[in-house]
Amino acid sequence: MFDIDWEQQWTAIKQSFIKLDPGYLIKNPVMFVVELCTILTIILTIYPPLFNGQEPTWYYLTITLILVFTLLFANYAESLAELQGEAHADSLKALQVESEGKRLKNKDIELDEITEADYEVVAGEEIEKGDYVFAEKGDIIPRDGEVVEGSASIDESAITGESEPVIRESGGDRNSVTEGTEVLSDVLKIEVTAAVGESFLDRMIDLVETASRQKTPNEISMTLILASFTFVYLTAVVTMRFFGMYVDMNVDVANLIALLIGLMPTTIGALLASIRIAGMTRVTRENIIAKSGKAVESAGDLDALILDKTGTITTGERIAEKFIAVGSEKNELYKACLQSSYFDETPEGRSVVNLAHDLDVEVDESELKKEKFVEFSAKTRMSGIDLPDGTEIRKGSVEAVKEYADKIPDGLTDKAHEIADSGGTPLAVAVDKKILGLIELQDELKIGIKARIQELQEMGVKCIMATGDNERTARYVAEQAGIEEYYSEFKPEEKIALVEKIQKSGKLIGMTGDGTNDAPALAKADVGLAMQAGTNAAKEAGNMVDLDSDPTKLIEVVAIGKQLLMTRGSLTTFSIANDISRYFALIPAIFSAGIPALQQINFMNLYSPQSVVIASLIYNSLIIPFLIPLAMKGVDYKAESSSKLLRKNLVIYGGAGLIAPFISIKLIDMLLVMLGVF
Amino acid sequence: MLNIIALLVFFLLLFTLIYLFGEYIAWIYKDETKSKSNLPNKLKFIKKLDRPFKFVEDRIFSFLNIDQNKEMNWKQYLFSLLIFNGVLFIFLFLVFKFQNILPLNPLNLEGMSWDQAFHTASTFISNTNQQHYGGEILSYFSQLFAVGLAMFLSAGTGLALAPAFTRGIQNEEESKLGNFYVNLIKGLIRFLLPVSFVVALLLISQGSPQWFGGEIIVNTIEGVKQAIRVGPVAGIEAIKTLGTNGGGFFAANAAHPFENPTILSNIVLNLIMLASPMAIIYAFGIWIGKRRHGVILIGALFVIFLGLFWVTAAGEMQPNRAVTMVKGDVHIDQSLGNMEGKETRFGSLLSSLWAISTTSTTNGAVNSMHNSYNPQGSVGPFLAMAMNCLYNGVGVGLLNLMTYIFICVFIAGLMIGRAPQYLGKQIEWREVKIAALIILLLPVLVLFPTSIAVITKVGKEAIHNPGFTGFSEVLYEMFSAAANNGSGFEGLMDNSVFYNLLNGGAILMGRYLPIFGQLLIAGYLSQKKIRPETEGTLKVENLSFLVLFVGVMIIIGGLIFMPALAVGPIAEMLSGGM
Amino acid sequence: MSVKKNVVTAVKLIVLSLLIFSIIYPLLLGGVGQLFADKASGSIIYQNGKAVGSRLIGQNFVSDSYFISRPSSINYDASTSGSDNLAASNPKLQQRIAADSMKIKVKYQPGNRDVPVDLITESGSALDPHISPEAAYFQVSYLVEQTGISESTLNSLIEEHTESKLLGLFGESRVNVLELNLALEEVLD
Repeated sequence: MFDIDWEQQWTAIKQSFIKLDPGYLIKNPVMFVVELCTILTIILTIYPPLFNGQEPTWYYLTITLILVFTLLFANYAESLAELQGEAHADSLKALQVESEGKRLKNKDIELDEITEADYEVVAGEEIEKGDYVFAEKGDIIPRDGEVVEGSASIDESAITGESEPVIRESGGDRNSVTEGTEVLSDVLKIEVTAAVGESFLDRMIDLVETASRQKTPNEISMTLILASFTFVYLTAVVTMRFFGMYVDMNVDVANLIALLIGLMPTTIGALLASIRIAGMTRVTRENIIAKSGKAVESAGDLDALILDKTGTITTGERIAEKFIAVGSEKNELYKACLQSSYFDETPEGRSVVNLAHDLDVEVDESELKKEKFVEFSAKTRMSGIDLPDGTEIRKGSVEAVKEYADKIPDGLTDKAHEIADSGGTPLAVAVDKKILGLIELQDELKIGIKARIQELQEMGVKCIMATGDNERTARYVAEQAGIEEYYSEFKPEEKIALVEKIQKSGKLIGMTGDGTNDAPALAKADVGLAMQAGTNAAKEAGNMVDLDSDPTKLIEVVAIGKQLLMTRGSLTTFSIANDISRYFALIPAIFSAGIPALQQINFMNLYSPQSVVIASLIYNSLIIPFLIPLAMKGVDYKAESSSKLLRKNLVIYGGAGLIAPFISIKLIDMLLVMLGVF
Repeated sequence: MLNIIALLVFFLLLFTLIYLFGEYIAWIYKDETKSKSNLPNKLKFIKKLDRPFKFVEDRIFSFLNIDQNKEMNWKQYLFSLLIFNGVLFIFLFLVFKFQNILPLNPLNLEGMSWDQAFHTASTFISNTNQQHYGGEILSYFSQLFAVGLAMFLSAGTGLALAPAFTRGIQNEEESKLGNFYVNLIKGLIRFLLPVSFVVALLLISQGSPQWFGGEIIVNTIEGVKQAIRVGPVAGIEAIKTLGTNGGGFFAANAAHPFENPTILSNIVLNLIMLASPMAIIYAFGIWIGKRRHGVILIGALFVIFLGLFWVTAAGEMQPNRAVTMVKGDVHIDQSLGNMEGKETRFGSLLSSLWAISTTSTTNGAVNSMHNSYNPQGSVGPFLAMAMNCLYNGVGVGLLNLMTYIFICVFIAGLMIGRAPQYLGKQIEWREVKIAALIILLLPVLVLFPTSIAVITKVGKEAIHNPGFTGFSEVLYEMFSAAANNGSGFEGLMDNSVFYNLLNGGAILMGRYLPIFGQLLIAGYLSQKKIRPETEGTLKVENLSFLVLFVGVMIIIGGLIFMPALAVGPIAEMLSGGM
Repeated sequence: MSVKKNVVTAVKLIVLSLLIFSIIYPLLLGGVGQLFADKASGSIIYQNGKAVGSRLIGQNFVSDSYFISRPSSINYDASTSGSDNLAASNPKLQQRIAADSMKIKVKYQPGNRDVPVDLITESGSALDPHISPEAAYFQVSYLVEQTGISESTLNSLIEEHTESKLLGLFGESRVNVLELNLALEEVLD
């Protein structure tokens, strides 16, 4: 955090000067007016009689310099934020290495028949959309595509930062491959789905770059308001010169400019862009690519989130919690449980072994032979092991094992229901077709999820859970997580209807998704966070993509969106509240010649009219760099109800806005006098 | 202490009246605003009035050939309003210009010059009632058939805007805002006419004449002839005050003993002057189903009102500076405060209260002469108008308030991390753009004309008092025109082509541009969905919102005029005691 | 609605409004107002069957045997109204007040007594029928000299004609000068 990137600083400073171009600044009306004022003071410095200037040249020169610095600080704030945003785009760009691809000559060839003769190695950019390429261990995927055939483990760490390899395979929701990722094992036949420069990576880079340049809708409104205020103050200040004439007083243009600059919302005007860019960068730092700034703002404004149960609220890994003997000896069951899972590499199997170890269950390991392990199959829906003596040990879903067994103990069904009622999944264990009891698997809530959901709901973001699980499990998990509204036995296709229903009631809705059948709902939702691990369709449809494929991050995004809006609002309040002090400091100063009586409202007891003007301008200029860290970091954000938030931010930023300039201007004034400037 | 009790009693009466008027107006437009709130039980009896009113209205609608069920979108609504006001303008212009050849002119008064007729017609159709003439130069025909008529119709026009705007907020993806003529006629028949009648009777009982003779000539006990102008004063006085009009029958306006004969009449007029625009804000709360929001809005403005009143009353309780400067061994009992330009019966306190009331609304009637106020005293009325008359006019006051609300909601919404939204309607750049332009309008319409007036010969010639007060005269006149207030600092010799055109133009722009903008906003809003309220929604019913709203009003509304006021009343105030 | 239809409706509505608001409303009000016939027609005061003024409109009393009213730039000409609108900073106001107070001083010889401020300030309407009780009492000693009526009689006359604050709270207590002078005249007769 504290190590300073000097090169970045240097670039930012250079940029600050380049951005002085009026053609560029006109996009920011507030700073544009500041620039016009600067030009006026330059003219005054060179040729004071033009506006009947009576003050010494050094005075005009000083004012000019302070104004130039004000502009530079504003530009610097923007440049710095831009550079930090671009840093991420650059890191993505680094991935765009010159790659080669193995283009298949014949698209219809079967994967296992492919030999070196069947493809030609071509440069990445020569591959066109619709081409088929072959990839094997060690190859870099040359372009985004879909796996047509095969299954392979792929290292996507370059994009996602996740070192764990992922499986990509044809059909289903895991068929998309991304340019720049590396095949670790096996072979794939891939249909290229992106043209040159249109791959995921290209677009991500593009998005990261444009998002920092485009104003969000809300920011446009803000700019309009600030422009209106600027014009109002301009009117008030310009006409003062005429009023001065009426009372036979030459109101110095430089002093009027000082008043105008003091009244105009320069602080927020200068920081508006950096607030946006910094907000977007915070999203990027979470490893999320937002396709537009609007999406991030909308996230802050969501009324409801549709959360999947598995993977979002729960870890998605079912862990054995308990062995329940039904009509049998406890030890007998425990042993059977361990035996059945001894070679079971699934997380569930591992958790059974762990539980057995915790319970100090011991078995004769020599009896267990790996080749005797019975893998889970879709047909039997059971797995297990055969012992050398021919004993069949099986575990599986209660229904499957019931079918298999010929002896079903009393109370088994009741016990199984009990487990389901508490949100668990029962597995039955049988030895030689005799059911001994149940394993209770529990899907665990993610750590901290309950608190996050609580926070969201306090802020008025309703969490809705949708799960394919049965009613009992759904209800249990919802209760555990503190969710009121949930949908059980929910099919992904139904999401779109749910989204539409919620939107119809006027609410903004956010959701996550990864599958192709999530795509319509992702597109329809106000914020659709797609998982990088998901299908291309889903990634296309969502307006954000999470590179880590962690659906819980939707909650993070809401917080970032809120923080972005809050920072903008709070700094605006600060900036506008600043005005009050200017009236008391500057108006007596400006009219000091014609209306000496106005000195009575100069209760800050500032040294001289000139020192007031300079001190006020210096404050105005310095407050910008002073607030850059706040603009970049965002205001402190805690989940609270709207009333509390409003009160808090109003007191902090409104209060500071009222007081800060009084104190600062007085201090600068004293300092100037001490330094002998006046 | 006695003063504080008097004020407490006054405000208690005021709030009671706001409650009654508010509930009643809310009831009148219940259907037009799609309101779901009902009359409180104790006021249920009002419903009995529905039938007779409906009987009259139905006759009127059928005479006018208006289909009550035919609703208008914002464009049609604005169009009907503008045409109606346009026709009225032409009628008024002709009456003022040619009153010399019209009947009911027993004193053979002249017709107005074209520019004065333009200014006068503009000012009456727009509910401004700025008078560049003394009331005594209007014939009875002009008073009754032009001024009296316009007082009803301009107030009715303003009133008709409130339900239309509310509909914009209540509508969900529907463009119709109601029927302009229905809203207008209902407001006239159910509210303005009957209440005016009752108030007028009360005024007559206090001594306000309702007489059709011209002048009564008396021989005083000292044997001097005194010509006393009378006329149908009471009727016009009632609607003038109720409809935030403010144009006096006499030049001295409500300081004239015939317009405002007693302390009781003063209290009654002061009450209804404030209650009618405030009640519509309260009614708005009822329409949107949040009475508390209406109360908060009224309360926010009331905080500012009290502040301004305190400034003015404190200033006016002080002796007039000119009196304190009297030399020689004359000792003057100054306990009554500044009595220059004030009536004995009202004294400083009731005069100050009226001064802030009349400028906190677009009423503009005066019961004392603001020009003779101590500089501190005159700061209050100035600032009240600078905030575009706080409660503003009947109906349009609500719309005016909304401009500040949108800006306020925008900032507040952001501060709680939400996209700005008001009553479930998203406030986006289109609405913000218009609100920002409306905010801009008042400074532009006040400060630029003031600049022109104080640097041109023709403008300066009209200035009556020297020094900073002279500047105040001009500034006040421009405020009074652009904010559609109509009160005068007086003194300024404003009946010239220059001021008639400058003020007339500002009056029309100050009235119709915001109406245009606000109806457009209503049109935009009516198309939007209503987002249900959640914990995270900005609450517009609590104290924080009130504080922010007051802050926005003061900083955006009031303080931008600080530089101008510094040259006028503030300079004068600081230059020489009170 | 089309332009034409709108215009027709507007014209018809204005004609109808003229009927309701400009004819029926004021006439009906005038009729019902006859409940307060005297007041509805200007509160005229008659002395010996002759109208001598309105209770509500002040008069300029110049004779030495009457209570005087407040200064009026229009000399209580009730065919018009409104004060001179002089600002506190206006030298003209300072001059006028200086002149008026000098006149008061010369005429009433106040000595140590304070001159009530309403006697040297103009009212808003310039037709103010009232003065403060203090302003009335202030004139007593002078009128005792001029009219020969005893001080206590004058004092009780003033007391009789003093109207107090509304409910003891609102406005100021005051004396109607015309009525007071009429009462004074009666005593004189």
